[in-house]
Amino acid sequence: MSETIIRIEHLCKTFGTGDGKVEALKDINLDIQKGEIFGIIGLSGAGKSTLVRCINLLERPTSGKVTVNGQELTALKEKDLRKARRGMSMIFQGFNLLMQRTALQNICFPLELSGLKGEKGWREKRAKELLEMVGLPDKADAYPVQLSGGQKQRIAIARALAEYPQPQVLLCDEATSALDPTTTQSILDLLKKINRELGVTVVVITHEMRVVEQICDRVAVLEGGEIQEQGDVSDIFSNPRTEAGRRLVMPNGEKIHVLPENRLVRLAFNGTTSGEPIIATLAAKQGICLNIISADTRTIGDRSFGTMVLALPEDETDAARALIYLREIPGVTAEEVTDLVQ
Amino acid sequence: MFSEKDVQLLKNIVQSDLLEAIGQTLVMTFLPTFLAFAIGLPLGVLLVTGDERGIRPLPGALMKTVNVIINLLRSVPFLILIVVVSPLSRFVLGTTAGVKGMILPLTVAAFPFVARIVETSIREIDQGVIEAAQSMGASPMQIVCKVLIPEAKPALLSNFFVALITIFGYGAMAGILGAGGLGSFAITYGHYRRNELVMWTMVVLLVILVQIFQSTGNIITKRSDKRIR
Repeated sequence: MSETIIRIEHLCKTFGTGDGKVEALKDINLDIQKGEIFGIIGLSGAGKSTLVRCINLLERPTSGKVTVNGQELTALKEKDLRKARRGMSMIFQGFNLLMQRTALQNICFPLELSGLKGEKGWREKRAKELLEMVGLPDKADAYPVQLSGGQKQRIAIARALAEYPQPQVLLCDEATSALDPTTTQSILDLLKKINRELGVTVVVITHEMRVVEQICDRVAVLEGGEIQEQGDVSDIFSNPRTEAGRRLVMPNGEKIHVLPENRLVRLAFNGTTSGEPIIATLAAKQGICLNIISADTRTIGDRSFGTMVLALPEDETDAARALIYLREIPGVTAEEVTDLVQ
Repeated sequence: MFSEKDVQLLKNIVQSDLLEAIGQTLVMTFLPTFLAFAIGLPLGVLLVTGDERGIRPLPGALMKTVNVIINLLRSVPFLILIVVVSPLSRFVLGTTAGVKGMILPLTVAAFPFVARIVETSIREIDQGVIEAAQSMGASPMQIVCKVLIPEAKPALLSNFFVALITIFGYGAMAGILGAGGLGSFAITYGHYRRNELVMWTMVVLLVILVQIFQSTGNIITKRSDKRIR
């Protein structure tokens, strides 16, 4: 049975007062399980950065409860909160390394803060191990300015894990958004490795669907300061139930110009039918031709996800037969389209 | 161009008092600068951290008062400040004249300025770095000592030399009130006695000293800044 490590209950955050009041987060409820990679996805302005800052209370929620590892953070005094923060770490879009310190000194930083005593050079020893783990053993003496974006983020990750005992939660605030696709990939692989090998629970804030695709187990879709839907990544992908979810799964919308008399059907692939020629089979076996209006599918792992919009034939009997056929395919959801995502 | 008498006076000054005057100028520059930083550095840090959005907000009324006092001290002309501070100087150091008498007025004139430039240097630090430290459980004091000051070090060093040169200028100006040093020589032996040779020689010496301070400052600042490859 999985165990909840982060629990957010009825969390609200309001900025400003009076007319300038902005409700950044409205009644957020989330349970994040120990050892999972949880994604929070939303477009900019959705409130996702505020939400992740409310988890370690860099931002104080206006109301609601945040419990991490059984400890209710929102009830803690400043001093105890600082101690609690040592059990979780954060990495940022802008890396936020200390520019006047070398990579090694940056990694030592949290260890200096906690004031733990040990034999001489223990911090450096631990920092070197972490440098090894993030794949930059030769960059110990480099200053941040001498490193590339991806390297800086690796140092930031090493720094985030340096605390002793090792943090159980890693919060990633748009950690890959400033990086190119190849570098993003390598950072995501590193996060996955940390999650698998060290058992660190990872919370990923992003606006990029592919980040969620790549590493998350579960995801919550945030829009307008509210969680629109949440669930397993494959479920949300194959069948987004809300407008917000569909907009993220199909970022380009379903740009369609159709004749009004055609009935449309949307196929959602939930990953079990990769490689089967559905449309061709329908045409060959039943003699019914469907027009593909739009398609946006992708392969995650070895399964394919995505949606396709088809125009049904004008003939009612053919249309009905086609629908029956499509609905019988395992792993595919077919529904008639009434509202297109623009 | 210059009379025999002018040259003779300059010769006398150079032979007997010049080294002492340079020494006085240096004391009047460095001592008040260090004292001004001793007060201005913590004050400047406080102006940032005590801000309503700072890491350790202080009551708004207190911050406002501190700001008003700093602005007030900065707006009083330096020569008037010397006169105003002189009773305090007499009480603390027992004199209002000479190099010793100038230390306190110069410090009082300089520390509000130093507080402001420290404030500016520290505000330049990326908010994200402070946030990162907070996310690791750093206390406000740790943030000051391990983030704010070390990260602002190049800017602080650069501003140290700005302050040094400003205070140097004040010290020369204080020559008019009998402060001692090169500025005093330029005024008493040069200007008052209408000896242009002495005056301009002193001015040239002052200019050379400023150049030395600034160049040293540039080298030290550049060496300390790890943001430069």
